[in-house]
Amino acid sequence: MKAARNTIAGALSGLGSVVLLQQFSLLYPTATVALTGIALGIVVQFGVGALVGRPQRTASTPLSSANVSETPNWHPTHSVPADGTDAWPEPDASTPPELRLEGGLGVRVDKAEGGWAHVVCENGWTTWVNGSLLEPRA
Amino acid sequence: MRSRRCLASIGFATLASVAAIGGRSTPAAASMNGPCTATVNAQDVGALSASSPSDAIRVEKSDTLTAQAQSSGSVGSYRIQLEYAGIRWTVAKGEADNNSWSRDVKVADYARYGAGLYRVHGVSTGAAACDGSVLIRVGGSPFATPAGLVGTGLVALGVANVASMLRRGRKVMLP
Repeated sequence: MKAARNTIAGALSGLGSVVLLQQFSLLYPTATVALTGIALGIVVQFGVGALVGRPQRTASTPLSSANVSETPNWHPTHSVPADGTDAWPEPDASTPPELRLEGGLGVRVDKAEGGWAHVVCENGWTTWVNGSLLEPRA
Repeated sequence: MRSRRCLASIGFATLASVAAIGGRSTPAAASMNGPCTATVNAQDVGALSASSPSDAIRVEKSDTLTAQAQSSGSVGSYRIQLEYAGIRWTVAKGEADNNSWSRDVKVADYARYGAGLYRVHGVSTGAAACDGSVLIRVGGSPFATPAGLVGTGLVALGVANVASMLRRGRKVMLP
């Protein structure tokens, strides 16, 4: 769905760019130019999508009260070690971590698998971390 | 603020890339094939590039364009065609007078939807068949034409999609 939207928006905006450049007499649109414009438009849309989609957040971001209500029974069972820890979307260390959890953050461990712990953050967000690094809370 | 600057950069980069690639893919090309000489508004077509915007013949929408061609041999019929993005269509045709033909074309009849650059072909058939082309630059504000408005709308659509992605990205970063 997202890919289709980016493709359509990219193709149309690329075509629009070619039309505008032609209208401003900056270039004459041959078939090659038109197709190049369409392709560039699609590349720009997917490029921006890829940049925006990269994980840039840390769980140290403020958690609002609205988020707390999403997980009313949430109680932290563990804390993230002081120097923080990486988090993965799947328990697979061969893939790059999706973000880094900040040290001291409270999490609830709801599942363990090998050395991995599946944790739930206060805002309902879930991820996988190295379970041996988590510090149990009293 | 950062997002606006980012959007402006993306828009400019797309236009600049298309312009740069478009410029590179349209090298100066011979504009007359065959044993003919031709003029458009008294300008020799053979001396002009059919792909370089700087060689385009300038006209206004209210102008009448006069195309003339002469061949070394007998010419049967002729057609005047417009080309846009590789698609050609005939806007005028007729029979040649032995080895030459001349035709007036009202610019307003064919440029009612836009301004800017168009390629015009003069094609003649017969023993001395020729195909000559030249770029015509139709004056006028691009934003006052349907084509300009459609182009602006399409670019705005792409920018809106990028803005939407950036906004969603910011939400992820700041829940």
